Amino acid sequence: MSIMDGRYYTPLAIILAIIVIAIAIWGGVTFAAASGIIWERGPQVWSWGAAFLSLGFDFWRIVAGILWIVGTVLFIMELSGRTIKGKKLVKQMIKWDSIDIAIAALAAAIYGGGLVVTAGLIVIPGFTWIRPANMLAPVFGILFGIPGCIGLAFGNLIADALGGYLGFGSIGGFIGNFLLGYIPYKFMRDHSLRSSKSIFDFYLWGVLVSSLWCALYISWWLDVAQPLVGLPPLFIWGWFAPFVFVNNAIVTAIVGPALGYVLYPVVKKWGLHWSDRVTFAE
Amino acid sequence: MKTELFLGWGIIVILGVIITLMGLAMALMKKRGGLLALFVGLGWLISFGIYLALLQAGIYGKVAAEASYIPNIIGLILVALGIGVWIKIPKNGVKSG
Repeated sequence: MSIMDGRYYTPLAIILAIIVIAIAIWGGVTFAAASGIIWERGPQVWSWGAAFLSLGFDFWRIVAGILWIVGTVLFIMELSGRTIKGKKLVKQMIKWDSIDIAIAALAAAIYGGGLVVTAGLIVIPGFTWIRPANMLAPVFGILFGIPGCIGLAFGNLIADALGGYLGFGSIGGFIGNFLLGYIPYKFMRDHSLRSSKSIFDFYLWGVLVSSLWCALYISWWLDVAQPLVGLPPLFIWGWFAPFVFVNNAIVTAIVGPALGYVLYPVVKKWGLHWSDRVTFAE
Repeated sequence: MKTELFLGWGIIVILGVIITLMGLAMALMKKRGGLLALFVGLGWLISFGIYLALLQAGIYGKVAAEASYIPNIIGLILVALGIGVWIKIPKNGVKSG
């Protein structure tokens, strides 16, 4: 019997959820313990920072560089009205009528506003802060599709502008936050969060992969744009990258599935779910 | 009053203008993705405008910890507006197409 059979997903989903939540909490707790001395003694004092740095700058530059290129191609491809469906490149028809624009606007307003509310909880001045509203990103991605993801990108940009974080690095943050919603939207098969397979996929794509991809995407951009951004590579790869991963993952892992579970039927009933609004053509 | 702009701001503005003009041209030619590119470009410029406005008002980057809660309050208002739009769409839009 194949491991992909439905009944195997229940224990797999539970195990993955426990592992992801534990990793995120471990990252958060160890960061909180070390945060007061990171500026003075360097990111090596945080176990996650030391672990990231042990792999070397070149490792992260290559891995994150590949993710940056793939992420940017996916973003431009979706912007141009094309998408990958069933291993094929197909045209997707999003009307961008008043409803789609309103969906993008509401996602931008709720996500951006939610981020700004906690903008005073600064972690790296000018670069990032404690952001519990990140939990909305994968949920809006799987509920609203591309309009939701565009809203997330703008929400992050608005939060940067309102919170005092707007800078050259915001270009990376724009696409990085788009990917935070796009990865679960594109890679999860069942978006309902009503089966163990759906929950397993959420933890895999919506928490682990999207959080890491977003963190590495923005970090690579900050590294490349360093003359304009000013954050040294030691802090980018030893502090910013692991912190953004933990920051994205922690609340999403704890609250995300429940939020998605509650909102899915409402969005579906109101006809706002992406699957009711997008058509594909070869 | 702090009026010093961040390093590389010109590139952000130029990028916003280029994407806006490209999007406008594509939208006028009814090309796929034109309208979206126009929104993206305009959004960039609006965000930069918010930044400039806050900078001129002297409250840019002064969030909560620095005794100014104005940006945080704007954030709360945005959340309320977003939820309002969410509740309003089905009543006004989807059913009538």
